[in-house]
Amino acid sequence: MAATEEFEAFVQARYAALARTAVLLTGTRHTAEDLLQEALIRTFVSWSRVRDGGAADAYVRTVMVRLLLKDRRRRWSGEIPHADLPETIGPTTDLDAAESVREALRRLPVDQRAAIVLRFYVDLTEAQIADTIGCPPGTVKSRISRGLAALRSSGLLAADTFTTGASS
Amino acid sequence: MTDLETLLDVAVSGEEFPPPGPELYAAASRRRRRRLVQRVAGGVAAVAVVGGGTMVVASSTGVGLFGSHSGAVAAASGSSGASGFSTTAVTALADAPACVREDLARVNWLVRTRHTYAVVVVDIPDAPKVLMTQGLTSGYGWAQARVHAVLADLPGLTPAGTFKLWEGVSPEFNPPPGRYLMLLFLDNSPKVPGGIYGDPIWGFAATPVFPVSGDRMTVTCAGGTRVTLPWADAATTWLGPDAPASAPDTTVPPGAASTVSPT
Repeated sequence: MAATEEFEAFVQARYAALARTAVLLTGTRHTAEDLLQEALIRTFVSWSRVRDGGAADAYVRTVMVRLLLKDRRRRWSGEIPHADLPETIGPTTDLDAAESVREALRRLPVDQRAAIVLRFYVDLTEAQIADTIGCPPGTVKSRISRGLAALRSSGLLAADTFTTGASS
Repeated sequence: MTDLETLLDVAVSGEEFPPPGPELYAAASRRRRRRLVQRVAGGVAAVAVVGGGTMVVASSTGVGLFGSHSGAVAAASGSSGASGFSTTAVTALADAPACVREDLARVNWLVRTRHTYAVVVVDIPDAPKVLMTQGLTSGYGWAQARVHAVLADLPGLTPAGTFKLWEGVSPEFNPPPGRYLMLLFLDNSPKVPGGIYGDPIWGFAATPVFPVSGDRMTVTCAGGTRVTLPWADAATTWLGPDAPASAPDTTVPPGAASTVSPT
């Protein structure tokens, strides 16, 4: 199969899953798709060296996260400067719940948001997150910790809900 | 599953994300082509490769940035005279034909303006290329390329001693074993989660690739004019801020530069 066909097949198969990760990383759908499509284009540039489907997934995700962190002022970072987190977010319907979660994520600093999404949605270990982001594992741990604290403060999470789980 | 994992699933579970249309693939193809052009960037006119002192005629790829045929590389063949070109040895750049000076000025322009290339005299080993991996990327290259001399250093981005070198953007750009003056760039790629970067791997601009023999390098113009001249004094003759630098003719494939990368 030619490289272009392989790439198209990969996009067809994995676009939705990657888009969901992108939505959590950016907080909004349209910026998420911008980010994802830029990451896919960059992935295609290196397609001959992206080894297989599993690696391609990780490659796209890594590009997305690094773009997000590198270009924080771009629209896809979705970061909203905010001194204080809202008191409580009280979901009443599924739609409300989804938007509440996204809103809470949007209010996190982008580095904390990325660490939270990679840890609790993509299910990477802290060591894997460190590799993806390109920072020391200790930094990941502290970003997750601060992000969780902020989510608890927002009322999205109960104060004693969980720990950060497996670390590496 | 923690509460947060559930919440994150809920936050994105209700939406459909249909894959993008052909515009994405078209944009990706344009970007890849533009990247190819960048990697071929030197495009210095008619740089053919001499393997073991033998000139090999390069075929045109049509992607060079310069007006003349770009320096695609073919495998070296045996005896001299394969190209039919004669060689003139000069001791000073001022004595070289104008086309050679122009080609070197274009190389100088690339190095001075792009800030991504180290100019290095490299030994390509007489060993099979090997599959190399760096994080998520893998491809063939030389694991034991060796720095013979550095003519223009990029601090932190220039290899030293033995280093890994990706092969050319396509096989015809692979030089046969030998010593060459090349423009090297550190090829950064995202790495696999949990993986290890390992040794850095460099890439090379497919042109210019000036064959080096002893203290001389060979530059071949588009029209076939071929000159050997000393390379060790490059930094004081043609490679430096005070040396002539001229932008290449940016002839690129259709569509290759129709958009601007949002870097």
